[in-house]
Amino acid sequence: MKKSKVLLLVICIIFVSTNFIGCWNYIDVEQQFVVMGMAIDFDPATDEYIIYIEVSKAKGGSEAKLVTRVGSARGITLFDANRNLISKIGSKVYWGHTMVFIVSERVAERGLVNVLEILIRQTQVRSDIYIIVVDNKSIEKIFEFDDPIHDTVSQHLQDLLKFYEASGKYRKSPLFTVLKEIGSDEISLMLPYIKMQETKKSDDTSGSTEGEGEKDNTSKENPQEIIVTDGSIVFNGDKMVGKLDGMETQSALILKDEINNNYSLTISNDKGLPNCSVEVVDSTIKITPTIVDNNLNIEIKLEIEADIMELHTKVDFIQDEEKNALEIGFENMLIQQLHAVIKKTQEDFASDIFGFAGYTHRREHIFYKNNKDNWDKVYENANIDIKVDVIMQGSALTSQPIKVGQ
Amino acid sequence: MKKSSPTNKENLNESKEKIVSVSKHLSVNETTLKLLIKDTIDLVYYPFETTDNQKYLLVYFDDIINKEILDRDVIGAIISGATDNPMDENSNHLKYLKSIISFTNIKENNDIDQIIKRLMGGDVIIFAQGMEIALCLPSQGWQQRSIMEPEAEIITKGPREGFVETLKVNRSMIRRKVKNTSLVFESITKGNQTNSDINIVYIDNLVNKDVLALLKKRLEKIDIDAILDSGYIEELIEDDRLSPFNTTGYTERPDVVVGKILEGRIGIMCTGSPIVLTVPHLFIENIQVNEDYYTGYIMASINRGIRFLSFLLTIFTPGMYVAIATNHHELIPTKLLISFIGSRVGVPFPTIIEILIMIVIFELLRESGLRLPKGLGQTISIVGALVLGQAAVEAKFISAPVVIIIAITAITSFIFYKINSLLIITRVIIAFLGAMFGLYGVTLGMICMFIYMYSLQSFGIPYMRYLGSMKGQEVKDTLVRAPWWYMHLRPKVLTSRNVVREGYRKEK
Repeated sequence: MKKSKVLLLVICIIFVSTNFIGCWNYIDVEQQFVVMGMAIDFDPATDEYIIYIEVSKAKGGSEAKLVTRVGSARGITLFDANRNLISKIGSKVYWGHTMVFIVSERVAERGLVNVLEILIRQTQVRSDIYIIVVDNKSIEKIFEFDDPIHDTVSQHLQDLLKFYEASGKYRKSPLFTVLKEIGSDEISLMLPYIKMQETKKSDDTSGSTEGEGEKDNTSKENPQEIIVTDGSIVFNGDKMVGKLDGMETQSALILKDEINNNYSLTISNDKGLPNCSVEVVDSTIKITPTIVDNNLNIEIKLEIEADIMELHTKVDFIQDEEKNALEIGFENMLIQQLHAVIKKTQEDFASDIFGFAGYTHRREHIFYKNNKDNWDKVYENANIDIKVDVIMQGSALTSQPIKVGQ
Repeated sequence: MKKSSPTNKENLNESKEKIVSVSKHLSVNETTLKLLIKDTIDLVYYPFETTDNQKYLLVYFDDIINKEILDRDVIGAIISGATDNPMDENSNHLKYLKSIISFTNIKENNDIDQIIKRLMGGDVIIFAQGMEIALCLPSQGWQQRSIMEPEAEIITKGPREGFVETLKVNRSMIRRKVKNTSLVFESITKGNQTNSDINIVYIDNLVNKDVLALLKKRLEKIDIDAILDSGYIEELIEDDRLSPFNTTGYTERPDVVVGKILEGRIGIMCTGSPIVLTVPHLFIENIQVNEDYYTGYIMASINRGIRFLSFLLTIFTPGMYVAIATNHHELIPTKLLISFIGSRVGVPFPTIIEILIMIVIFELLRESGLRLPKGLGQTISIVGALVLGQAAVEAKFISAPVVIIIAITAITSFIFYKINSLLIITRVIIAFLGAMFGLYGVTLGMICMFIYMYSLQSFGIPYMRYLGSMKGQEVKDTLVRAPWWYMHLRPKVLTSRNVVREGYRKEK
């Protein structure tokens, strides 16, 4: 009698715990519609958000094939739009593997906080999802881009952002960084900017953009639109204030110490130097804020070690004199570029994307405390002093340029 | 059963009051035996008379004695003795008989009960007219399997002999290996119908006396009709009879038994079975293999690691897969998720049902393959490989990852074929937990399993002893096999009185 009671109790506990604790979350994989990427636009006319999603599903068989579908829906909030999406896609979607979250310039101008809200409230979305800004015209067709290499556009974008360091001309922007920078008083947000660009048969992407370069032979007559990065978007708070182009972004990233090796620097032959590209092996930056006459003075010391990767000359530049000339050439170029980008953020955006406020906070605590509330003003008037030291430490596998015979 | 046909024992008890001892008259003895032993064609009553008018009656079971010895050394000796050296009327008949029969280990007996037991064991019984004592001549002889390498415990490096079905031979194999004055065999007869001999073997100065006493107590308690294999004993002496975990070990190899009794364990041998049980049995013994001690300690330790990994894999792989594939899609890398989805599309069953179907099919294959004549063995593997591996996946009956998961489970389970029942049960439970609660459930199942395992005992010794210990001399033979020069001490709980191995003493 007693044993049967215990058994009954155990069965009861198991039944209750399995059915009512809400842990039961059994979904077979094939029922999941995996959202690879999401793009968000805003329609000022109706005051509605428009969402575009790229949903992936594998078709069965021994050779599993990825089928991608793009859907769009409108709603006053993103969640509303999401639910409206169900009627169009035919299923609830799964956010656990979403890689990119793209917002249009319009949304960025209105403010990011409203759209990021859903990402942090949702349990499924990962915190390393990339946030990207896209230009207004491209947002509708961003997921229609047919990339022959990647299965989905989102994978393309994810891969693109993964190699930010080698390119150096755009930034990697996972959600957690974005949230940290939006919430911080000491730094302003900077997000990568992409757009769709038409490629013709012999079209060459402009110098400031990172072209994907692939040309689809099948679409010779219909020029294809490809995704290219085009620098960065600078925010003040959560609102977009301006753009930086690719080179400016590189300078900004050097200053932010986000890239410190692998990227390239190129000098063109305008100052008596040959065309030359170097690969940066190591760059260290030291930023020291000082207060002079109650005015912020920022001293930046950049040390770069680089290897020569390409040199368009027959003269052996590994020798001391030529090498020094080359080093000085690079130093001057860098000083100019860094000054330019800082000036742009000071004058045009009044947005401290480099985190100088943070340095000041740590080193000049009292000054920062007094000027915290009007930091934008202080930053605008700050005096910048840049010192660059480039060391050509190597020349990759060869020490001589290619010899040309008579 | 017992009521309808009275057993041997009951029969004996009935007649015990009337006749207990051997009579002077041959005819009375014969009648008594015929009364007690049912008429059977292999039982021979052979009366004969010598030239000096002495009457004898030989009783024996025809098929279990050595006829040659009987003819030459017993009947031949008596007849020629009577001719050459007839008995004096005054002399002692018993002494006379013993002087003419050339046979060792002759037992004198006047208790019919005992005589019948010896008769059953293969003795030839001699009754003589006018003598109130019968002679029992141990002249067993029957065909037996030759000593071979046991098929179930193949090793690549080490001794090849295995036990056979005859106790005497098995004892000899152990005695040959341990030339030690402390090696003790003890005999117990159990089985109401079969009267099977059970031997226990231990080394007196190493054995844990408590365990020995407990074992003897449990063996005494056995009350069963028949013991045809040591498996019967195994089930009857276990600590927790309902537990799927085995708390007695078994082996067919004398070297393993010797290794175990040298660590203070006790071996239990049963007539008619080449399987020798060893107690106490700890969990770690499932992971130890005799070859570990014959190959180098590095290889042995690697193998131990692989075996422990296999133990975890064989139990938890299906559960983990079900948990991740149904509850934790975020844990799967995106590309793998897509490939999972691709393989699952079109499969009609939920993942947990798929897993269960495959577990059942695998067990079916295992069971049918096990008892198949050798020539048919290939058929099963072809059916298994083609039907399950390929056709089922192509027909969208089962998804490909499940086949892989079950393959991993199957491969790893073969390492632990001795505890297969346990593996099957826990595997299914964990798979269900995984389906219901995801990894949370799997972890819970794992915790519960380990708590249960730690609560088990084998003859009073904790089942999981030495696992979870961090002391050098205690972990030396667990997950790693330490080199011989480091194994100074014997397992403490097993040999509480005499822990130091020889080498260590000499060193000191």
